[in-house]
Amino acid sequence: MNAEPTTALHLHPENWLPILELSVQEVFEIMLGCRLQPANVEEHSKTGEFTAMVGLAGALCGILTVCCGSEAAKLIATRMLGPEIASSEGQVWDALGEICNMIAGNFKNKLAGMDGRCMLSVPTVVTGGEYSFHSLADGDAMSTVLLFEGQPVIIRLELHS
Amino acid sequence: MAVAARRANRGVAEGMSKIRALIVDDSSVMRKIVERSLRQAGIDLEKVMEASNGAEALGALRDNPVDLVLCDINMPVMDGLEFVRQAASVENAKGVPIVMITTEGSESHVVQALSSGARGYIRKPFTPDQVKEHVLPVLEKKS
Repeated sequence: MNAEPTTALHLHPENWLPILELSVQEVFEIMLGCRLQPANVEEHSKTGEFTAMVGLAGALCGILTVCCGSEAAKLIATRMLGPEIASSEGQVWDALGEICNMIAGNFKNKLAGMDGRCMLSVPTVVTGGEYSFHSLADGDAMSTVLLFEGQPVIIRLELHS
Repeated sequence: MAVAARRANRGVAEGMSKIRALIVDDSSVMRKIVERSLRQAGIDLEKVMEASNGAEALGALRDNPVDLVLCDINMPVMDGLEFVRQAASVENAKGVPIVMITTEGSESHVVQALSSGARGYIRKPFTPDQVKEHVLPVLEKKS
């Protein structure tokens, strides 16, 4: 009985982008009280200065990243904590990592047949824009760009086959 | 559920005693958000203690009287499920409600947490209303 949902899971990753976008929208709406706007992927393909990443292991294996510029990252922390609390760089990293974690969790919870068979790593946040990202995931990949207060936020999911 | 929530809200309005809460999450941002959500839920917090993993939380439980624990699952050192299991043998923690707040939203995690002794389960992302809905009834039961 358990094999069926797993099979279904691997057959339909091409249909997952709307689920990923919904997961992102829900996290921003609930935790930051704002709705993200669609953006042109080609116009905003450059990696931002802040990259949060959460690994997925088990039935779904790969990495989810959330990239944005420093202005967007600081605004995310401010919206989550309030301007009087979100003062340090560490809190900005922490806030962005938690956003990434919640998006990954929300996404996998929406996939049928995932029940308890996909684990998330604790988040990692990289700062600085002068790097190239090389995920060793060799399967499907999807990405979307959404505008948060006019600032691009790039969400990528790369999967192992 | 609506009736229980209304009853629980009345409990707060009518002067539920002040609560000593322990918030366990490896993210300090999330600990602050949980604390703010508890206050927005109308819970009168006498003291808020924080721990960044299950092992720290066990230490806090042994050393301090606590009325309510809110706990993440995915944490380094000791995760939330192991914490719930070990908390059952801490003398100070007997009868203290533990509510999980986590991104792990699968049915199997919920079952594991509840069968280990957690009294409630809130999935991240969460609204203050959801915190209220899950926390007030367990506090009411405790009192």
